[in-house]
Amino acid sequence: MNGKKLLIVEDEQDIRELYSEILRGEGYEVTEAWDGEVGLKTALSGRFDIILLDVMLPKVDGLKILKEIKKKPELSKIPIILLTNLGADAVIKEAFTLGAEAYVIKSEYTPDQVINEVNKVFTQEATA
Amino acid sequence: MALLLTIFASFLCIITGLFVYLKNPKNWSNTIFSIFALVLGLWIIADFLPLISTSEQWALFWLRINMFLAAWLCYTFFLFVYAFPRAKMDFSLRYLTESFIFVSLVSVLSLTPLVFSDASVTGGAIIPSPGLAMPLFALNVVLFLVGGFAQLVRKYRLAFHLEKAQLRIVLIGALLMFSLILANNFFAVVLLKNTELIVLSPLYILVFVFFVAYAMVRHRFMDLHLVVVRTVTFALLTLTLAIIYVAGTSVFFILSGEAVLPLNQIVIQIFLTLIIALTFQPLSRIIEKVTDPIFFKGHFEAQHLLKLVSQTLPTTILIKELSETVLETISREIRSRDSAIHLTDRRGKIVDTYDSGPSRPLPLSEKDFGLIYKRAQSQTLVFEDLEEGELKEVMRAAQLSLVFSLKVKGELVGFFVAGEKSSGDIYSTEEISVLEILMPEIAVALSNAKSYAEIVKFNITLKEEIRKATLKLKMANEKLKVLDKIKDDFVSVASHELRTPMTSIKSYMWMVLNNRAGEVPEKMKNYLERAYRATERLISLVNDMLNVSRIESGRVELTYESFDPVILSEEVVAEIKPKADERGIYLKVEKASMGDVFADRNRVKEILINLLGNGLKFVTQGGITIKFSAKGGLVSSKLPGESGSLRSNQKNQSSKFKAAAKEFVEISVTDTGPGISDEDLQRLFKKFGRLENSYVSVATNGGTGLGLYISKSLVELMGGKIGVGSKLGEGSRFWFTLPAAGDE
Repeated sequence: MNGKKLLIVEDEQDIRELYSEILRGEGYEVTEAWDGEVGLKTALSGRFDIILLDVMLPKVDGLKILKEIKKKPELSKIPIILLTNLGADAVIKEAFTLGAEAYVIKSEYTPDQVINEVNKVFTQEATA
Repeated sequence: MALLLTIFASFLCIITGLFVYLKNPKNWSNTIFSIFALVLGLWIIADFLPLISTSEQWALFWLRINMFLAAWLCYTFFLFVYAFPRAKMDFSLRYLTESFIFVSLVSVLSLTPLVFSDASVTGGAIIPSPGLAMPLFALNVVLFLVGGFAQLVRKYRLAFHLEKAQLRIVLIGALLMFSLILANNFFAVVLLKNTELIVLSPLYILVFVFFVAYAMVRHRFMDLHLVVVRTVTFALLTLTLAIIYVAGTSVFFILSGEAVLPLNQIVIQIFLTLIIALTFQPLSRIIEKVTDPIFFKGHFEAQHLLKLVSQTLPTTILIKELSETVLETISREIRSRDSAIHLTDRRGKIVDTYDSGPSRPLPLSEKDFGLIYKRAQSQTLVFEDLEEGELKEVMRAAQLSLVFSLKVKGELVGFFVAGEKSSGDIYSTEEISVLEILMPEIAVALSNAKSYAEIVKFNITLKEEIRKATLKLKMANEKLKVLDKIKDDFVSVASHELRTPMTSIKSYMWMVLNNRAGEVPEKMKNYLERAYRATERLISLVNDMLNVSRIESGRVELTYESFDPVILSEEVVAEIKPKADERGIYLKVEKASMGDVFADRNRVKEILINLLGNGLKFVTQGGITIKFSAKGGLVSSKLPGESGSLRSNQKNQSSKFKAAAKEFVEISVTDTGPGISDEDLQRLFKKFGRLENSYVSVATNGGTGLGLYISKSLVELMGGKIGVGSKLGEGSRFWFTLPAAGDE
């Protein structure tokens, strides 16, 4: 256990479960949310060290959640990685504008690369 | 008697001269002739006066005046002959001055004793004795008369038609006159010492005047034909009146037994009669002018109305304006209380009405209307002329006095109707005739105005239709745009939907292949690896299709920036290196300082990845080298925003792009692979598809068949060009150009 609390908001069960499994394998304490509404509530209530956020979600979409989280001053510092399969540059651009830390294209990234991406956040933090 | 004759002849001469001058003051011929006539008139008097002079001195005096005038007479005759018929004097100034001086001299001398030294009474008549300068005088006379006549004859010979006729008359008249005068005054007096014949001089003048008058009337000499005719007519009229008056009063006096009035009283009465006769016409006109406004009657001038209406008709093409102006003009001139124009269709049904004057209710039923207008189609209806009957009753009720039909080419256009005159009079035949003359003109004008109105309406309708059609088109276009967006969205969403399960497949497979689910037997690993690669290919294909869809619908967003292509190439190489190393292929970047290029960095990265990826697929030994070179040349014909269906949204500094687009950087990817056949070269940059009648596929060896097509599209969007050079067995060289970033 590295003690880091991780929230993953992803409606696709396969992916959510896979990512949760491998990240737990890395030592993260993973909390899962399966739709936008639950995700937002969870994010706002709990204290997480990192959030993995899918864009296409039922009820509330990922970008909106991102916005909401960043609005709260006590939560705005939490690094958020966007998960997406949308190929639109516009989405990515907006994500960064809203303050996302990084993004992962699910269909491109191997599980390894996903782990890397997550770890990178903390190593950067360490060096920052 | 002789005095009367003299005065009459003189009067005639002077009047003639006056008329001729006034007819055409600017014309030289006219002016000279009038001077001649004037001098002649004066000379007649001067010729006579010596005969009634009371003393020798007076006689001599008048004789001298006579000579003075005679000198000028000959001169003016001469001048006239020379000038006629031209308007300007074409005599040379020198001759004119010389001759003028000469004549002045002679005429002045005439007043001195040098021409006539004195006069003596011989046998009851006063005979002058010639003086020393008489020969000079004679010379004057001869010179100008002979010269004049010579010229006259010459002109007569050269002239033709009208001029010839005129000259003939003048020639004969002048010849007669002058010869008779000469015979009278000169030969008789000087040679025969006989002054008796001098009294006849006026007669000779009259002869001349008669000839001139004849020329004027018959041959339009001096263009006084009408004047002469009128004057003669008038003279006859007065003469007749005088005779009637005298005869009448004489008869009356004889019958009543009273004494006949003395001659001078008769003359006075004749004189008064003539004055009355003369003044009757002008006086009646003046009185009419005064009473006109009082009685509204006014003087109907047909010509005036015709002129007014004819002038009005072409002034406007708008039917309302036209009708109202015509109505107003006519009403005013014929002094009707009101009038109206009814426009109808061909069968007489009223379509439109315009009126002038106080509008009155028409208490007529349609049947009554129809009755009037049916009759009016064949004839003009004049209320007063109708017999008592149904029609007249109807017209009385409608207060219509006149109904005219307006027809164009026999087809009915409408009706013109008028109420009664303001003064209560009936319309004169003249007024009705004039209106009948005008109706066809009015009908044509109205018909034209109607056609014009229809054209305008049609134009408006047309415009409206066009507007509607354009709106429909716009809406259809909007719909298309929406559909396009939906299609694009569909592709985007579809790609996303496709990617979702593929991610699952790929990720779980990776887990298994990487022994996260336990050790994998060799064979199983083999099979799973193939499946895994296939998944990767599938994902790649979906990405490419999405790209192509975006490119083709012009929804590619490019973000331009300046960057070093060398650095980017190194980045890409670094990313791909692991794969290359696996296959034992080298990747080299030949460094060069090219400066920056101005393009979308991410897309260029994609292109490089594509090209390198292709290379890796085919190269089995050796490697791939990336090279750079500078290229000059024109901007690619496909500027952003101009490339047909390809649209790009430039985010920054398009002007910078244009400014820099003079030079290019060429990036080439050369490999040591097997090379490409000519056949295949053709198909390289096309989308996957089949050549006609062939099932040879474009995609080879695991590619999607779209990569190069996408690369080509992107390169061209950014203003560059792409190409390939290859020979079988000699490797391939893919190149593309990008605009160099300009200096800022």
